Amino acid sequence: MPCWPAGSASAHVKWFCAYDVAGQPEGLANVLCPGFELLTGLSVLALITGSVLEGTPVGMAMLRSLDQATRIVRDNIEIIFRAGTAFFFIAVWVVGGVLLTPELKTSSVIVSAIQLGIAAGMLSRRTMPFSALGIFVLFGMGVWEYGAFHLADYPIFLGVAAYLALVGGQT
Amino acid sequence: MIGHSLIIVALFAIIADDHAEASRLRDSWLLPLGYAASLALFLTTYYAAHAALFGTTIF
Repeated sequence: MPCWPAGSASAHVKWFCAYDVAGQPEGLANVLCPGFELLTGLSVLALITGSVLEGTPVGMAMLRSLDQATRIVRDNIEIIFRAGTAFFFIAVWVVGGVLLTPELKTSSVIVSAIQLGIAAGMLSRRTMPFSALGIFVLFGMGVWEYGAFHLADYPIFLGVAAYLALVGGQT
Repeated sequence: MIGHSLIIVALFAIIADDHAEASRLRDSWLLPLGYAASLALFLTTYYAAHAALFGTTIF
């Protein structure tokens, strides 16, 4: 966990550099540096400001404006979700040899078929639960090969799978 | 960009959510407490789990 200001390649280093998940992490004393504390303080300040503003007429007007500006996204969120998911899994299928993210290498031949199947499942609501199942399978393979601690970085995949299963299950 | 497309889509969904109910009043003084507690819980869990699994040190 780098201290602020971070270098250009410090974010998500697992994807771009050699790493050792079992290696010694940066000590807590170094993580809790002044930069970290400053950013934490700013975050708290932003939270309090938002919370106080929310109930005022200005805050309500801002919320209404935001709701109006994002209507087109809200009305099409399922399509956007399906397109984004299909785009992602076609991309990892094209790259080949990875489970869900670049550092999760695999030589399993069935993985590519599952990824393509997940993307194809986005074409219809009825097949979305099958895509969700495919994501759970890939995540499970990741846990099996790399351990739960490593995969704990990627709960987004479980969230997406849950969304696809719940929305698809409404049909 | 491609690797983060699912996160970007999820953020779009959160930003576009209009939550039809009127916003309830929050206790603002609880925010720093909740935030600090969450941060402390996360850091403790991360370092304790890593130390337990891989035998590393916390400090």
